[in-house]
Amino acid sequence: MSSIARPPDPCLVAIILIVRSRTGPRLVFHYPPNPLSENRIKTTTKGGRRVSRNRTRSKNTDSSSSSESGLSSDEDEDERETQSHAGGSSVLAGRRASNFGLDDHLPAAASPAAGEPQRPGSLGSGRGSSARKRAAATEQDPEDDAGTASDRPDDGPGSSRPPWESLLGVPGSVWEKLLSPSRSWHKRRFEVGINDLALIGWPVFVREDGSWRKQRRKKQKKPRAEWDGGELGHNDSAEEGKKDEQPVTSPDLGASVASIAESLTSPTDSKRGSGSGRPGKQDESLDPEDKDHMTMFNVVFVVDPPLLEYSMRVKEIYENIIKKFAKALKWEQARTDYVWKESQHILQMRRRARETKTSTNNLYSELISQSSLARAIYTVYSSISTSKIASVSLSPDVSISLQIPPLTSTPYLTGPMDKAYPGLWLTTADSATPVDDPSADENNTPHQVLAKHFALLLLDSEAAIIKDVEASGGALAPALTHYIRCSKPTKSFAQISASSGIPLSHIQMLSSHLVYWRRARAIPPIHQRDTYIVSPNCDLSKLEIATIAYQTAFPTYPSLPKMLSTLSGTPRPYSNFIPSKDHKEIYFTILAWLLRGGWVTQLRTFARIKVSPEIKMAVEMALRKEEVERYLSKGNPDSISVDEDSDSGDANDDTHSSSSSSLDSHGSGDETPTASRLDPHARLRFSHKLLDQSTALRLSSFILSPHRASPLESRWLDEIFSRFPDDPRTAQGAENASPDVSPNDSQALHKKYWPVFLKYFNGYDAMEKIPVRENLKRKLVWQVLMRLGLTTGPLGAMDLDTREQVLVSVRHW
Amino acid sequence: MIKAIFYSKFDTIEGPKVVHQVPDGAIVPSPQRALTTTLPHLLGCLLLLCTNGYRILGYPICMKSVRYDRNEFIFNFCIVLAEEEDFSTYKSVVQKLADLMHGLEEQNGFLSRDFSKSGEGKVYSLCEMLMEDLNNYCECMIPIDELNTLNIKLFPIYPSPPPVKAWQVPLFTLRYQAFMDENWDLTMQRIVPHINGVNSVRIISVLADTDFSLTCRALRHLLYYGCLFILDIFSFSAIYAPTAQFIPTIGSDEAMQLECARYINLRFAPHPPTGPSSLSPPTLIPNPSAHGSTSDSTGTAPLSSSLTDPSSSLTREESRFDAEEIWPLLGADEDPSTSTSTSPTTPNTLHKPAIVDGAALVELYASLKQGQSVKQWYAAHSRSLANIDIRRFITFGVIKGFLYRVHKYACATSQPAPPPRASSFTPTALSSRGTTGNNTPYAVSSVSEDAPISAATRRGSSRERAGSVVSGGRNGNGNGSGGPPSAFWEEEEQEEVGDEVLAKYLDGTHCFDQICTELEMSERELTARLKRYPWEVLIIHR
Repeated sequence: MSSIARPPDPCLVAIILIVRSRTGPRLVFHYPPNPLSENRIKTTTKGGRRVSRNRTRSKNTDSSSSSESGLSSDEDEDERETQSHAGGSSVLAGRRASNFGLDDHLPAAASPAAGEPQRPGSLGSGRGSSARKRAAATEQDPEDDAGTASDRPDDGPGSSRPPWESLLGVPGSVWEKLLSPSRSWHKRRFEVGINDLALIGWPVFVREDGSWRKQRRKKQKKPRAEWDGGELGHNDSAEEGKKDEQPVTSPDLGASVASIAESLTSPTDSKRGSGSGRPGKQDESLDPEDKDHMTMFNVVFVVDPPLLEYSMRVKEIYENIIKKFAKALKWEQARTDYVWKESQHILQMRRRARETKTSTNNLYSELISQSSLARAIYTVYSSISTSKIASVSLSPDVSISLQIPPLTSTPYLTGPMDKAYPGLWLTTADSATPVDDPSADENNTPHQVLAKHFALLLLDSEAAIIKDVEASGGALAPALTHYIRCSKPTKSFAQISASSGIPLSHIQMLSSHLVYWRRARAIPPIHQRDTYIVSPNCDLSKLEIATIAYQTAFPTYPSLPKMLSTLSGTPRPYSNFIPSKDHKEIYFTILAWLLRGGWVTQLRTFARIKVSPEIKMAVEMALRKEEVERYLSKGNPDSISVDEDSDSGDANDDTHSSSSSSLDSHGSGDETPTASRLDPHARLRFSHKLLDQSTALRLSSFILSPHRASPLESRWLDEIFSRFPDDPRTAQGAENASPDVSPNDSQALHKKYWPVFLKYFNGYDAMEKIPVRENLKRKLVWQVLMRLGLTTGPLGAMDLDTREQVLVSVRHW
Repeated sequence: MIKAIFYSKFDTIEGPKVVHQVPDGAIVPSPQRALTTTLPHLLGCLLLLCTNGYRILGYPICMKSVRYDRNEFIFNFCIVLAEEEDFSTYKSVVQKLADLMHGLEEQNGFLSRDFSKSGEGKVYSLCEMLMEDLNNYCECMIPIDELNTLNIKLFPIYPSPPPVKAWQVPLFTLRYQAFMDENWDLTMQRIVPHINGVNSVRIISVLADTDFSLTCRALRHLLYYGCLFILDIFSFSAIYAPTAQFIPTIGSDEAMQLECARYINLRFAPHPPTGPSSLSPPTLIPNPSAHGSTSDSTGTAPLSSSLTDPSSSLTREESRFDAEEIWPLLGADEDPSTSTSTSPTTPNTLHKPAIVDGAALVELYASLKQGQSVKQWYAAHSRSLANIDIRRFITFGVIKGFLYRVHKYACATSQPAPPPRASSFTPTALSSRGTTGNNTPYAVSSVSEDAPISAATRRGSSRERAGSVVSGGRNGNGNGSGGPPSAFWEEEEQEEVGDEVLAKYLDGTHCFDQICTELEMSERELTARLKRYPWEVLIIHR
């Protein structure tokens, strides 16, 4: 089911920093030093997709083994991958996933893979063996100077080339050419694909006047105080505040594809680059470079998304990480020439390491400890590739936090054929969707404003979060600390606001801050009368570990399996499980713990109004009567056109037959009016619409959205309402079940609240919302709902009037 | 849609140039693909580039031969697509094109001897035909010379399905007879007739006498192409509940309600319900016997989009669904003759509808809930369900995704098992239900010696305890149900599954279906066995 949203999966392979100066493009830094070889070790433990992908990959390798010597087994491939740079057959080899598929034992010939030619296994080696490729490399390419030639990976470890100057089996010079686009890419998405890897960047070019941003905005150095997507407790990233500071240079959309020409290094370009740039790189001292200026930098993220999720993954990482990170760098570059200075620093260290033959590991640890830019890239890589929040500080003044916002909940329960994400909170209670808000009175910008009837569930212990907040000491820290202390998962934002005196808008802002930065989650307030079930999406494979954690948290209470088992039976309100009043608090804490881990989810009730045939018939007859009356009141039939005449004549006939009170006469008339219904001369639309309905008159149906009911549906609703009995007998019946409501109240109750509740009966708004939103007592609301036909649990067996039983309810998360 | 195809090569004099392009003028001749031809490390790689809202896929190839100037010939065929378009299917097209051209060039210098002007010649017309055919027909077959033909078809790429489990139940989404032929894999040919929405994978492999792992692979293959649904093992003791998809699908969609009615109505069952008595004890209500018979029809009644199977459309023209006849009739209160009457237009239609209409179906589905077995649910709604095939009813919901099966998981704790309580309660009145394992594969052998008591106890216990607060972890699962069942079981236990074998299933990650399938026991046997497990076993419904 493609509708199922997937949680972010970074698929990050490497980060490359390219800068271009007068002397040509430079690959300054990349992390990790040996991409994919490390990655593999780490990700195989992740299970799921990675594993399967590896399998697919090795399968592809297998299938191409006939054409490519040495690609015969997984081990070979692994080996080669760990060797990474050493050899033309690089890790890009065999990573095609064009037939994502099944095992190779596909019985039928229908597999798309079957018809495909065999693929070469190597990024560098074209069709043939590496020997042939080496020949090619030395014989061809007139513009390749000696420097490039010595970059050949095939030259092996014996050559003087340090290992860190190639990446993914391809020498740095190639990356330099590939990843330094033309100016038309300024502040736009730059995307190149090589086999299964996608390289995405957001190149920034120096302005014509040599500066890195417009002058007039220079003053805006001070970070904004208000939260702006910045990370919890960190100085709000300055660059966050000034998004879109410069008008984006409008892409020349009209240009033909030919303009790509300029986008990438043309051969002349690269020739020049190799002619002038390389010597500078290799043996020039710092002095000439001091006069040099950077004209462009490009932080390129290498990702390997699964083919089917390609665009989604690329978009995620581009919007959330790449753009923001590059913007931060641009800000610092404009301020202090940061990127260029750091790049020179890094290049110098690399040069030195090359001379002293330092090992890659030593060089990298040195770089990361000495260069804040290298450290930043390292941090981004290591955090983002593990789906964590990256807190990057570029300088003492500027730090930013980056993350791909995780999926916090899903309404979809995955079937056996879908990829599952066990442990994900399963609910339809999404705090930001408009569905949640029938009256749409909220500002519905996602992530910005949380619905006020939600509560905050902290994802860590209160003390731990406060400690973190205070440790980082951002501008928001005091407010956050205060709010966190006040917050309770049992109270909605509105209630907390009322009790603590913090303005609601502040609470919503602080909460969304905490939610965005993964410290909390917005949930419907926990209430003892609400029902909670074991989440069908809970991750039972974690049961053992969770049981221990639970044990330490609640040592004297029933164990986690016991608790889950207790919640497994017929759904009952949570209060049923609380042994006594004294235990209420702790049982709420337990419930919060269970909700946090996705072990349980709230079972919510949704209802729709069912319109029975009786109601329909009554309305139908009333309408026909009106029709006749209107017709008669018009008096003289001469004034009516012929069409109308015949139509109303029809209606009249029908009315006669049905008003003769025999229903089957109406039913038998069912077949004949079909023709007249198709009569194109219909003018009395309303009556015709009713006629169209006449087949459905004997079937009950639902009113899909009562607050946007059609004229006919409104009539039905009125009819239903008018049929509510208000004789004392029913009041008595209801009174039995509700002793604390006076008979008078009870009698009027459902009539009184019917108009209020009506808009919730759309099947999408949970009944549990009504008390919170309308600020009513739960008991009262449920009494009314029960009388209206809601059946939840044993109380449903009340003696109720069928005329009131108009709701059909369904319970899910 | 392919926006353009172009062919570029590295000219020894002019450098990289675009030789041919379709449509003409789409790409202004430029040295741009130079990129691909001047970076020798990227030769033989699939390259992709996004620019100006377009995505260019190319596959540069370098050929070495003394017959070329400078001993090499570099060329690249590129496909241009809209940037937002899914390009996954075109990757293989580019690769295949490159491979074919490589071969042609090797054979007779197809490319290097093409000196025709831009917009003319064989290579150009090849590109032209390729683009037109792929855009219009998603495939092409272009003869190039007497030896070579360019055959390309755009294959959609699907996600790889997860491994098939022994306790899953496959069901065809289409008529396999229509596309199966004798060239099929032998395993596939053998298992296919046993796929009917009732047999579990394990049973299929047993019935077809095929290797289990091969069976799984074959099924996975069918799954990949969307030929199968995966269901769970249906039994009357299973629990189903609505998902969040309920309202958007069956709750709102009247077409789906009609589709459902058609699928579940016994009137449209391909075979009259002649209950094989071996399957169901005579005391059972009529429906389970209908299950037995309709079960094998499921395979032949494929659940294609409209769920209309041809066999039943013989009796009814599918084009016109009469609102009256599509809906299952309500069961008669006492008199069975009404259920056979064809005309529902009895005078009391209005006040007592004799049919289960769309809204009533929704109500029936909505009344399924956690903690309530199908059996209990049936008991509560037997009149509405009189002319409804229960298994199909449930299956429909599972297929459409608005129902889910609540699985049971056993989790052993380190607490010693509490002593069986004295029979503090008696089974509730549900003893007339069918046996638990009625449709589970291994129940067939044991069903004759069944008595409904123990199953009743199981369920009964959860019912009984539903109201109690203090029952702690053990309620709702029947662990505590006491003496009578165990006494009952003692005398008919043949061979007991060892504790250590059982123990590895009791970590909370194995559902009852799995345990039952792998240990070849019925759910009832398992429950009874769990009661005699030395440690306390908690059951979690998920």
